[in-house]
Amino acid sequence: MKKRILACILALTMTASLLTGCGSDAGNADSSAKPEAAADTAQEPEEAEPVAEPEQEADSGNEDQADGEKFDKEVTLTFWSPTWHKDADEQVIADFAKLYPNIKIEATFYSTDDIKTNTKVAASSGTLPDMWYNWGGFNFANYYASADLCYDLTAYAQENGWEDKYLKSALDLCTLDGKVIALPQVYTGLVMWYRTDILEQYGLEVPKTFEELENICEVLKENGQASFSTGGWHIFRYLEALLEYYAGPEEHDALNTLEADWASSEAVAQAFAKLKEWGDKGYFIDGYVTEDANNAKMYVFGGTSAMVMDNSGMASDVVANGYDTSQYSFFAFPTGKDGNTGRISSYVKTTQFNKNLTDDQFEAAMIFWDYYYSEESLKSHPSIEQPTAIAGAELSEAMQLADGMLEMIDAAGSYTTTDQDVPNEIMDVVFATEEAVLLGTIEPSAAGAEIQKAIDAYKAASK
Amino acid sequence: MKEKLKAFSFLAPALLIYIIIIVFPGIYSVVLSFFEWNGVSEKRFVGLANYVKLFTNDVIFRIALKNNIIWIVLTVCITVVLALILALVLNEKFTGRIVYRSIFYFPYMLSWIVIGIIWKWMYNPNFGMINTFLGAVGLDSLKGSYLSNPKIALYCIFAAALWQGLGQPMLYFLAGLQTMSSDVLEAARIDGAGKINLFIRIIVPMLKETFVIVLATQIIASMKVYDIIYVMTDSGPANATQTLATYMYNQTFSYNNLGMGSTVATIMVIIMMFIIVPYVIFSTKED
Repeated sequence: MKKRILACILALTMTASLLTGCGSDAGNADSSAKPEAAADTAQEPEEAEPVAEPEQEADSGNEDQADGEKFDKEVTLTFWSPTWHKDADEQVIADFAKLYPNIKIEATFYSTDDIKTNTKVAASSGTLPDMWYNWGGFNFANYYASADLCYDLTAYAQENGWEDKYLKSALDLCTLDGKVIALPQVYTGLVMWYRTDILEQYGLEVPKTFEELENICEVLKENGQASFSTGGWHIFRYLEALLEYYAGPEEHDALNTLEADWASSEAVAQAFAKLKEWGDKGYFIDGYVTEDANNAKMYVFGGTSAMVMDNSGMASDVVANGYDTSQYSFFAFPTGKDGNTGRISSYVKTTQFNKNLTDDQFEAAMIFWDYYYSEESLKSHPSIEQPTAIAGAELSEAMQLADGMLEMIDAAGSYTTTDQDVPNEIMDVVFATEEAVLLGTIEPSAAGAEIQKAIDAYKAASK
Repeated sequence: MKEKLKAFSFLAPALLIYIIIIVFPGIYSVVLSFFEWNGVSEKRFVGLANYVKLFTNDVIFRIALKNNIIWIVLTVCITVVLALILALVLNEKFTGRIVYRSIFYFPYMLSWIVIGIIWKWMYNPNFGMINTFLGAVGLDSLKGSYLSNPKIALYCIFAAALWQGLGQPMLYFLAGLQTMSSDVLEAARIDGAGKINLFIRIIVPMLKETFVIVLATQIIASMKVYDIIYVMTDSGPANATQTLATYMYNQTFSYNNLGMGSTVATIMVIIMMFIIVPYVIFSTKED
């Protein structure tokens, strides 16, 4: 009998360990990039790596010492940053430490998934760092602002002319209900990167209209060439552009703010129908439905696909991987009508600050970020993620392929990348619905109703 | 009494850690399942509303539950059976059996993430080994985008999991077989027991305790399956490979519904108890 009881207890114990799943180590880095935000780029996840405090070199120049003397209080700032910023951040922190020896920046680096998860866990347990990297929009930066966990930067921004310093659209994306809730770091948009040699091979020119784009796809298809590379959640980038094309700016904005009805929207049905048509015609690479979104660029590099919708990071990827830069360029997905380019999906990456920063800490934090994005720092640290949200900032050599992108976005106008601004539970339904449409299990005309159901449920739960 | 105190003093540190790391979070998770909470706001007590919602108004939860049940059935019917067969074969004396044991055990040493990446590449419709092989042997009609097909995606992932998961139960069975008294087996043979009779009437009953361990660990692992699905399909296409663990993660960390995430976790535990406790009681009855 005792043996049975013991066996039962052991079984229960093993089973009970399941429960700890919710509260288990959120820092487990055994995960690949989470397709949570289409706004993200392909980055290799790595384990969290606390960084050793940068050595302070004794040979700083007199000018540097003078800078440091301007801030004579001892301040330590904890900072969570993504792994793909590690090189740049470590270099900047080390150089900053020479200028401001009293300000210690203790950085910890997390993979894309982990930084999202860990900041949420830290928020719920009151252990947020002093500064943390974040994406803009409802699911990310706004989450902390709505919970009153981040520093209100409004007054500082006004006093220090952030309106002139940063690109307006980038600063807008860091503003919630009139409050500046984050410091804009990177501002970019989603454009069509293409292989110039492939288009040239078939005598094709960069499309200016939607019809011209479809014509390119048709010619490429006839020649056994996939047009678009994509995978998993990344497919939504094309659907989002189609929604902008069919709905136009006003209705698209209303759909994204959940004010318009997706079920009855003609534009939603048309966008899904066109996506399905493209899928059926073979415009996308084979197996795109479950292909890893992070592999999408690879098919363009390999020449399997002629185009991929991606952000400015594509420019540095081309250079970093040693590809011939003359074979790559970009154009705006033609979402406008009557020959206009149409708006471009864009998004911002930010840093947020803990609400509980002391005045000294806040001052030190601002000094740090002023240095981080100073002309001098951008020149000496080309690995800083670009394009920065600083107005008029020059791109590094590795980013030259993206030259003109921000100007193009400014000229064409922009809208916030949908999955930064629409709640994740609704976005997951959108992703699943688009997959179901592409697989033929849902009619394109019924897709809007599926999404609207999720929106209604979300609204009901939010009440 | 002194001996008991001594034993307790040795166990106390581990017990304390266990309570802090396992028991308390477990209980807290159950408590959270009765609340609506986004992680930072005030918690709102909702009683059993989360449970009711999951069972009555959540299509994805039902898909996830069904997929977990399919995974458990496949594990018990295929993984455990194959592991037993392999263990029986590898328990025989033949040249190179150590090498074979290592080969079959090796995948178990790899993490689910690595397995997922390897198999995802194998299934890749453009560059994958499987389609390339099928093309090379003239079976082009069988080539396809396996992971993109919602009808077979889960089974394709299971094939990858099977490759990884055979090693551990095989090792348990092998250990169980090696602790068996050769006298008993010899006596049965002398009494005229054939191979099948020997297996059914002698070996299987004598492996009863091993079966308890193997089935309990395998069923629990099946219920927790997460990493490999996350890597290979991320629960897609169209939620076709969603499981309770992936759904729990999404609810908790993606949608900020900590209450709902905890509810899914609690349901997972309850289901496990319903399967494992009666099995353990039944299989240890004679003892």
